[in-house]
Amino acid sequence: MNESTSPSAAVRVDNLVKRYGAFVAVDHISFEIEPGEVFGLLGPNGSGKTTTIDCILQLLSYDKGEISLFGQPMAPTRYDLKRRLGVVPQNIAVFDELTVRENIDYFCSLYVTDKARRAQCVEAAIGFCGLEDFAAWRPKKLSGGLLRRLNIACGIAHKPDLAFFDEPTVAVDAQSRAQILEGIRVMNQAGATVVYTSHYMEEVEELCSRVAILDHGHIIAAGTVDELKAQVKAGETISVELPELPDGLTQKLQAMPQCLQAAYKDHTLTVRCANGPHNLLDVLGVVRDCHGVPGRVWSQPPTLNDVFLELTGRELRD
Amino acid sequence: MRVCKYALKMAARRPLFFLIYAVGLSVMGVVMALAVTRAEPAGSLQDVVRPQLEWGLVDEDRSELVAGLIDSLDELGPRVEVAQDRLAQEEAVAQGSVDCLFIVPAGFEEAFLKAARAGESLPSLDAAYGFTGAGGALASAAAERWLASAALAAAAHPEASAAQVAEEATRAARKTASVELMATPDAAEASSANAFTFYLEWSIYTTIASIIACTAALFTTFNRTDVRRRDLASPLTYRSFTLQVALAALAVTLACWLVSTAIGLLVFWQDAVALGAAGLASTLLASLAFMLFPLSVSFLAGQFGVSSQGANALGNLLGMAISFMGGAWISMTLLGPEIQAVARFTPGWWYTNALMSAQELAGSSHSAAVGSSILTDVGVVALFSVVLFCIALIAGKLREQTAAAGGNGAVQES
Repeated sequence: MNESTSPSAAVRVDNLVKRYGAFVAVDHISFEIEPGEVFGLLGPNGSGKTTTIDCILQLLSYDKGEISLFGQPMAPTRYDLKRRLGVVPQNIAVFDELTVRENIDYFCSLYVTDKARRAQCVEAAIGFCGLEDFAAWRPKKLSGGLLRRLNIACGIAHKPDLAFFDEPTVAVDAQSRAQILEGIRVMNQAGATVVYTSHYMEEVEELCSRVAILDHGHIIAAGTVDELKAQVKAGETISVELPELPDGLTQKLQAMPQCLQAAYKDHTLTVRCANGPHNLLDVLGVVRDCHGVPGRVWSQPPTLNDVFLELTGRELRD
Repeated sequence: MRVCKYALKMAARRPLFFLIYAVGLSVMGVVMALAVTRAEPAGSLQDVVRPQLEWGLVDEDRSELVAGLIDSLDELGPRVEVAQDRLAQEEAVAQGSVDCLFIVPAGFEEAFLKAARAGESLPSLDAAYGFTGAGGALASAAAERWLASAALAAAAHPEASAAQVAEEATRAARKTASVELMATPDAAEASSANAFTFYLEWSIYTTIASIIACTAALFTTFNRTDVRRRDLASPLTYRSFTLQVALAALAVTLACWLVSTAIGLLVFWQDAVALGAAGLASTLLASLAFMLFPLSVSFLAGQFGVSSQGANALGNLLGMAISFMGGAWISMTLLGPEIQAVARFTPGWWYTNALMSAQELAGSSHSAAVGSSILTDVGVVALFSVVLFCIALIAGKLREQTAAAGGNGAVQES
């Protein structure tokens, strides 16, 4: 990584607005990302995540707002700033005609002109993404997971100070996903600031130190994962397997003061409860009173999906 | 220069278009040039051999008029005796023993003269012939022509005897118009054309199709939205990127030109030498200038995001249109003035002009004037390319401002 020790925010977006005709894709967004952070942009498809990143990277002009990177205003001709960035786009962006090694070398050469240093960077990226056995392969021969890893290697081979990962795990198997997330963690530990967009809340929860949740071009909530979870009323979600729903059970549950929502679907009773000491016992007591025969019972703490659900009334993946 | 280097690497890994267009079409050009310029020249009138026709006649009239007809038919070829038997006559025609069999019914002379002098329709002469050759129809036409002359003579001289009418008809039939065999402009040009120059003219299509197909593949690859976004997000400037890709495309263009020209020089080296040093240099200069035209078209298509297949089709259609308008396939002298006027607005016309002038350079006493004319033609050809390049650069800048090209922010540099 570069030796920069700028005290300023790695990314500062102030009052950003991007319109496509009458449609407002990004609506007065403001946020800051500190150096060394893994910052998550979480939101459903079409919420404005990629548009925000495109504006930061100056791939899109915007209607209003200011963007600065490392304390300096970002502009299309700020090649000094662009040199410190790494981009892993949502779509696989590699050349089919070049091998894995050549692809990484090509994109690395856009940032690193010194041949010897570039060769080191390329080999390091190949090792970092676990592509050693496929370095001489053409992309068409690679599996979906390997292609994703190549896509990442092309974006980070030059060792950027600030890396943007735009939904890097879409359509990737569990093993590759774990490797990708581990790689990002290692990068971050080495000093890189990471901006990570996804609509997979589990990934964001696992990876990001701070998160901004976007919906319809707005930031509807921002903070650490714990801070976001603390914003919601839901303390836990209790699920009870029930072969049949006894009469009046959901009504009795909803009458409980700590119950926020009770629903029965696919032989499973789901009860969202506010924070409280005896939620599980109270729910099971009502089930027993109604002569219900519970099967498996489990309780989940609130997730980012609960946060999104409470803020928007919709599931994150709707 | 890494972009340029990798662009060339990618071009080298896709040799199909190069082999099909640059090599394949050049070989076709060689065949065309050999076929046209090495063809036998048109012969003189004396070379035309009149066919000998074998004919038969069943004469049931035995009149003086028919005797005159027989004398006339004797000039076509030997008369074949045919038996009076109808089956034998049919067999003679069917088996080709005679090219044509005439049957003159009894009373033909009397009916013929009477009808001719009264202005009524003439009695017909039965003629039977097969369709395996044109000889029968030719003999029948000759007999009809003689009878038409006889009818005119009979009408003109009401008192003349049948023998006199026959004599007059024979005299008239022997009169022939003076015929001079003239070569068409195409044939005249072809017979005197320099094969190498003809090859280059025909190669207008080869040049346009091969260069557009090969270079468009490069432009399409680098203008693909996903990879273009990566380029735009990088510190590589728009100017440097465009120049490097254009440079790689120029190298591919030069390779197409080299292969096409080398094939022509190899096969038609004697014709190339016959042009003289100045003529050959002018020819090569003109073809070098002309190759920039398809490159600029391809560059323009790339800026508009035309797909590889689209550019391929464009190359073929444009190649055909420019070849036609340049007179590579049909001499411009055979085309209407409107077409000739429009052709001046295409580079092919100026290019073929330069090639024609280069042919004259060797034996011309006004080589300075011819040389100046060639330079003008070459200059106009180059001008077409310069204009298209400028349009392409503007189009590229404008298109970069659309999301389809990868974004619109990164081109706001001065």
